[in-house]
Amino acid sequence: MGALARTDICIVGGGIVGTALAAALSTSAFASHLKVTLIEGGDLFALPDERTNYFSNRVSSVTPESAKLLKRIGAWDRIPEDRKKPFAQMKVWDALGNGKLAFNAPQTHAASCMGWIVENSWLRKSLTESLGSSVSVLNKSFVEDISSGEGSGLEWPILTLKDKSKIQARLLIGADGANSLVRKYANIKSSGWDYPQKAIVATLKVENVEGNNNDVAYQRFLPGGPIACLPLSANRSSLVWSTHPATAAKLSKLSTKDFASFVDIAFRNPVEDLKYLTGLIQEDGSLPSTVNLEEEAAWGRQRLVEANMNQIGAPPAHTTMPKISGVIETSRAGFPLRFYLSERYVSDKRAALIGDAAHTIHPLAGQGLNLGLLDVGTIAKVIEEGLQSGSDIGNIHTLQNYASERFAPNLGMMLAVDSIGKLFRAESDPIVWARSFGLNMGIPFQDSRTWP
Amino acid sequence: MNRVLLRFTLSHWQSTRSLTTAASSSINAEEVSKFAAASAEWWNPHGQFGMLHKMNPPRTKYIRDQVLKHLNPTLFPPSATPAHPFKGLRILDVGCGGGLLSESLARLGATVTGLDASPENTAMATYHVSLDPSLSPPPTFLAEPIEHHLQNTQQKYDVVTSLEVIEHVNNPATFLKHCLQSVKPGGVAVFSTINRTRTSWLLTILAAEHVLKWVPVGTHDHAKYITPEELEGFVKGSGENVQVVDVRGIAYRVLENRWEVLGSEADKKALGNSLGFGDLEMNYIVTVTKGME
Ligand SMILES: Cc1cc2nc3c(=O)[nH]c(=O)nc-3n(C[C@H](O)[C@H](O)[C@H](O)COP(=O)(O)OP(=O)(O)OC[C@H]3O[C@@H](n4cnc5c(N)ncnc54)[C@H](O)[C@@H]3O)c2cc1C
Repeated sequence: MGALARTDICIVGGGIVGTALAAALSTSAFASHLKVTLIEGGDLFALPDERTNYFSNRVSSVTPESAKLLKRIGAWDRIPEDRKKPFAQMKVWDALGNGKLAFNAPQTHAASCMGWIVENSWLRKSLTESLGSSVSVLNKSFVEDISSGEGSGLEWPILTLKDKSKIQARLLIGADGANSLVRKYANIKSSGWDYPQKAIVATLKVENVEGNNNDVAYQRFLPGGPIACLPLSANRSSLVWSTHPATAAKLSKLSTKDFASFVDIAFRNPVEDLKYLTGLIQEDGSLPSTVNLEEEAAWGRQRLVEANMNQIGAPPAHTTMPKISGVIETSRAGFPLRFYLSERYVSDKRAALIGDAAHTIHPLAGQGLNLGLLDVGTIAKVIEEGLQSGSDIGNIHTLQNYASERFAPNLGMMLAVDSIGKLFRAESDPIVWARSFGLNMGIPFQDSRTWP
Repeated sequence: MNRVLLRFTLSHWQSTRSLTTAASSSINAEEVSKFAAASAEWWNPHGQFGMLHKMNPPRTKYIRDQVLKHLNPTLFPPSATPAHPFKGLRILDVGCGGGLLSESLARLGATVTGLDASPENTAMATYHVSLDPSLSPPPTFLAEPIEHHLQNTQQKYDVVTSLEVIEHVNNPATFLKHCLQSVKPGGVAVFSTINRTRTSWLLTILAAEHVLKWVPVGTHDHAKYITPEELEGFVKGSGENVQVVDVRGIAYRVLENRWEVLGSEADKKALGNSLGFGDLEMNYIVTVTKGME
């Protein structure tokens, strides 16, 4: 066995959540003396593409509360203004019923915005730049094994990296995503399911945008899952389209141009048009030469507007859905969607789980990362308080304070998001009426955080 | 907010430390064997001392805040930082038991000496600090009563602590006097114990020992519980230039499963009277300062 390096806190996983925690600890007056080791299997320092008006396909909506945390850490101001697009409105509607909702940013909110859409790559870059000197980064290092320190004279967990070097840590943080190794080591069960859906993401070109230079987020609930269009700049938006895996496979094969038309149809046309046209997609992704997508789409839209007394499937009043005029080449990608919940967040093996390692949810409400950042804020606070009372911060009694603050709220959000997803997958009439009614009740939303 | 406060007293969990009594005369042999048996269990977070482990952080935080407020500024070493506010301070923890409080004070930067009359306890505490490489310097644990320590060493301390101990000694007045004699001029002492009330009898003797069987029957002797007035009397009668500057209740919030040091009487006045606020019915903690001359 080689020399055993020792550290106070070892964070496995340099995703946005793990990196945010490392940055938070290293900038805290009470915790910056702790040795923090951040281990990332991928490349933590991969640079974002900085070309103007070019956007990565992986983006997150960031709530004002998350932004506040990022600001405190020092990361938020490192993200250039043109890389964090504020949105002031969110318009949501049902493709099958006549339920619709428009949320506005609360007037009282200082930033007067509901949130920002930011590329994950920029979040990561700004966070790595905020890491203080107490953090040692082990980049492109994969943790292969974790064992309890029993028998080593010190009962702290021991991590073995791919290059066989070993690290022993007082406190082990699992920020290693949905398939967390730390969770396995801590013997924490995780249960849930894979949604019968896949998410397709892409960067869209948009025209005829609404509001102040495209500051509206749109989401339409289709029978196969929600489709969302999130603003990135005056003429770019980001797509997250959750749909049946079979449909996703077909859509992925379409040419970029046809795919853009399908996205446009998915937002603007009656559901039947989308079903019919999707059925026409051939094995190789082409469409029969007899089909003129433009004409089909125009005809369907006409129907939706003119012959639709009940406004079935139409967006909220005073909405001009921007025209999806194109899709950036190679920006299309697919992601599996899951609901997984760890039965505990902490264990007496000196381990705690944060972010997707603790909870994985459907992206329909854009909350996954935001929940992870709330975890970061809480566990950093719990560690600081532990230090101020002279506690052993790896001790279960310290960690328990984190779990008891975050478990219930996270679970509440997870269940809310899941039931919205389920509700909107239902196509039977009574449920469609019920959800239309629910949406139209105009439940007063105080704050973007209460969305969904 | 839920204001229902149910309290339990926990002095028994602390009791392993009981033996640090004042004069040899004050050492109670029966008590020694009673708690030494439990020492191996001391550090198990889920064991019978689990409640005490939970009580330790709010108590330590209280000590931290009181010392920062009341220690004479001339005693503050320049080496203190926000992360290590006690760096350079010398602290005596009387009745240290398995070393729970001593370790916490050491993590705040202090150089700690822990006293306990039970050699099993000090052995256990010494072993346990060796498990944490960051405790440097680690606390020193001595198996001797306070009066011997006073005689054997000329040392006086910036801070002296003795938590949940007084109710287990035979002669609390003498014990307190010895503790206060060990404090430097300008220094601070912190004591905690259980009040002698009907509530404390119900909860510590009837509930904890007989009904819930959290601790062995006979762990407590209700007659030995001390009221805040008695404690203040002992402090005044110690012959030292000392003064009680703060008294707070410690409550267990059942629903949240955590301990809390309550607001002071002054806070209580400022905030209005809400149920249980500043209540001294059960466990309470007291800060004493020593004058400079
Ligand atoms: C299509 C889609 C859209 C989304 N949109 C939003 C949104 O708008 N808003 C929002 O809040 N959330 C959104 N989410 C959710 C969000 O992306 C995740 O919740 C968030 O990225 C989780 O971050 P994390 O750091 O916890 O985990 P991850 O991002 O999964 O990071 C885990 C890291 O750990 C590393 N790792 C894993 N195992 C090891 C090991 N053994 N050794 C070393 N390193 C290891 C991995 O390389 C990875 O970098 C979306 C998700 C999807 C799929």
